[in-house]
Amino acid sequence: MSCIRSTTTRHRDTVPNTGQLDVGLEFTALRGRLSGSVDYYRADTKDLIMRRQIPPTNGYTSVLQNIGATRNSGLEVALSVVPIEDWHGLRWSQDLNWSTNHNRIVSLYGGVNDVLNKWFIGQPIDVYYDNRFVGIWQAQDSLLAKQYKAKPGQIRVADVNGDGKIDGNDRVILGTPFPAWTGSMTSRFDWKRFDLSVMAVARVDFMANDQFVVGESTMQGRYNNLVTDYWTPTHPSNTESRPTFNQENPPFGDTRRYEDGSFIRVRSITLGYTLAGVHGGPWHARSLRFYVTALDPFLFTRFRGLDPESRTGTGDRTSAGYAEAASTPSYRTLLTGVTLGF
Amino acid sequence: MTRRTTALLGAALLGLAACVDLNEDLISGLANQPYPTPDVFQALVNATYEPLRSFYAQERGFTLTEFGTDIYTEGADGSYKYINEYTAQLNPDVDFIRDTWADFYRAINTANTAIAQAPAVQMDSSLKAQRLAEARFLRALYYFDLVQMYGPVTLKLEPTTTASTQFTRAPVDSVYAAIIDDLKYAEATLPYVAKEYGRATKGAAQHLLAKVYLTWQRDADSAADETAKKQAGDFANAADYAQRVIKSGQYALLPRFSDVFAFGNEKNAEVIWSVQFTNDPLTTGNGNQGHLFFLMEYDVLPGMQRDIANGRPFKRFRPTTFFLGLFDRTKDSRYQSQFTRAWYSNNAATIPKDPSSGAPKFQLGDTAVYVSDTVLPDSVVAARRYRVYTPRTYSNRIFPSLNKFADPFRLSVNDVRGSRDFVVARFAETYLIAAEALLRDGRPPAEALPYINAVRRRAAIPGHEAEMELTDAQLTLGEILNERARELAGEMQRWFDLVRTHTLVPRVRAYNPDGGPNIQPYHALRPIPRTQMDGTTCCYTQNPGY
Repeated sequence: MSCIRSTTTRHRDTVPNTGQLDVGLEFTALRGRLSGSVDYYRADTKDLIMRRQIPPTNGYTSVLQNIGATRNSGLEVALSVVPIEDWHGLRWSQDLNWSTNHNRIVSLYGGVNDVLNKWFIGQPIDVYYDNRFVGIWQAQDSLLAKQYKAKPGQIRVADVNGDGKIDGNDRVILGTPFPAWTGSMTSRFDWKRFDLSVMAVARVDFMANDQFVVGESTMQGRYNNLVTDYWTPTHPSNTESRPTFNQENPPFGDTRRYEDGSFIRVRSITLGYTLAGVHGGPWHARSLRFYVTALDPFLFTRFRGLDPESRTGTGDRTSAGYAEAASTPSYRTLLTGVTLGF
Repeated sequence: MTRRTTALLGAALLGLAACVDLNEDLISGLANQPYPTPDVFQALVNATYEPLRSFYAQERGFTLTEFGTDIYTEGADGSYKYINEYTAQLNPDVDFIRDTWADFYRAINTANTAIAQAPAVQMDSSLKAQRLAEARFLRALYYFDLVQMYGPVTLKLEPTTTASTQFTRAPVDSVYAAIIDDLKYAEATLPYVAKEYGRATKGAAQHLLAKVYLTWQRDADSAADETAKKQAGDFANAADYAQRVIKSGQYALLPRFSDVFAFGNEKNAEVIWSVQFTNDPLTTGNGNQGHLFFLMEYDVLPGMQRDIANGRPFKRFRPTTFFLGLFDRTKDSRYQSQFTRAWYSNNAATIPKDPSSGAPKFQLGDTAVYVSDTVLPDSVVAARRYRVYTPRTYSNRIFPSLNKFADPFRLSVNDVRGSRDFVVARFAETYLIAAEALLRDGRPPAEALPYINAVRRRAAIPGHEAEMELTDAQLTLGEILNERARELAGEMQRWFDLVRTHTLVPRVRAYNPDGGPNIQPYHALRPIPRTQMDGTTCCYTQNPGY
């Protein structure tokens, strides 16, 4: 029998309360061919409850408690246009959405930054806080490398405070998984019995945690690895460390996981053809439509991993270790179908 | 559904939503003071045992205690070679170092909760005292491991009631004082034989007390430490407690060394106290994983395949040349009995064939691989039908394999969970503690010799008992350390032994080819984990060098 307690002691917490301000504008013009809305919101949450890590000498590693106040603000713009109403039977309608959101920690218990939880006043609630990858130690810097207990070919990280050694004090806020803006677009075309719709989304300027690239570039040689431009004495790469049979992960290998995850993705394309109705034999259908749909057919991104959309958590807290690497990337789907209306 | 019922349902839902009381008290998490009932109290004490199995008999514990010593260096596989090599990756972010800290403080807090609650618990007073003593024994053991690994550590003897970010590091002396206080209570209270096997006993407390006194580091400087310990009576105390165990009549050295780790004999007269594992997957936790790490890569060799009896070879820890050379193989049975060197064919499909006749070179059950102790001429090696390795061809995949923890009772070939108990306090070690304490206390050799010679005689190949005995002149601390290596290798002692005797750096430099070039005096302590450093608001100092 055992009774293992690794989390929390009792607290008298208060329910989080949020004060919210919304300002909105809706409009319609050109006899309905142009409509839209603009919304600004600002939500101030006090007594936010989060699971907070605490020093292990407590005997617990985390506690659920009120941690402080956050402000969440944003702007959302929606626009619907019908550029073509009827041109030789063609109708084109267009929807656009654009939004931006900023969240930041306004205050924390104790009034100081909490490095263990990576909570920093004035910063978003999730940030990447780690050593900064600046390249690979090169042979000509071997003396300097030695001072940092490194060897040519190993990953070089920034000595932020310039004290001649790399430690926890050299970690910096590298970025956040929250994008600068997101947008979506839906176009629909109808022509006679044909209909075509295209939907695309964009998520721009955010940091993604590329566990795939880190997990599959161990540079050790025991397991299959991604093809990388790795360092050798005669090929002084500045992007990937030297392979070493004797270690299963390169020193500071995790610092390779942070990259820009910006992408535009075509979420779906659907082409349909509708027959007016079917009457024959036992069949009596008011309408009959054939269609072809492609889901997630195209992705435009510089992200190196499998899918920037399944890589957007903050590694250490929200998903430990390789949990993210296991999240399924999206896949292309081609559907064909028939819709009968009775 | 009619329109009317829909409307009623809607109203009901709206009504419910409107009734939620947003002013209720929100109590998050568990109550920190469980009701002081006998059941909860006993459950807390039982729970204090559980974190033992996060460290003992796990890769975590073996890596932190066998790796980077004079007797074990790295094999081919594993992610923790830097702990053996003492490179920059041995830093505050290492998960083994972080999790050992967190799990042990979790255990300590569980013990603290049980201990604080004891006065209010209504139950049979002798049973209560016993359980309380067990909790204090375990708390002492956790602190003993912590103080040896991390040096000055936070000393917390009360249960946590509110989350704090303010902690300090207590001086090593006060940690040891608390350990001894707990152990003395346990020693005075516990019986020699626990009603339920596996619980702490008087003998375990005495053995641990002896070791604690022997280990208590009073000065970082070796010579000053020796003097200070002698003056404080540490060695006399260590010898006293070791002799109490020896004279108790409760334990005995088994007639043969090979019996100690024989299958089906894990509850024997030499076991003072062991961490419990079972063959029930539900309750054995991670199991005893010791069978994995010390094996060579036999399974890919001609005529061989991996099977349950031979084990799953992780080839983590390779014996150093120094360690293998410590055994006088003509009279010491411990080389023969604790190293597997011959592997018998279990795979007909890969038995090599004679090139001329096409017949298999050997049959199932014949020797397929032999790891020779001595260098043999190439012609002899080539003439054998089976594969022969000699000390020249040993590698990080091929080496004599420590078999103390072999576990053929696992459920499947790749199951890591072994079911054998892991011995933490063994009677043979008590003898070696007594010998070391008496020697370092400056007593005449005649007092210490019988203890070490008892262990050595038992280890003798039959008929060589007298030859195994050390003489007065041979009794040195170095020889006792060598004896501990021969007797206790793999039993999660070595790194502690070397730190305790201020011999970590010289011995690793001399005998560990991978760690030797890098080791520095500061490596005699592990780094304070990053989680502790980051989470503490003020002034938690890192160990020097990290």
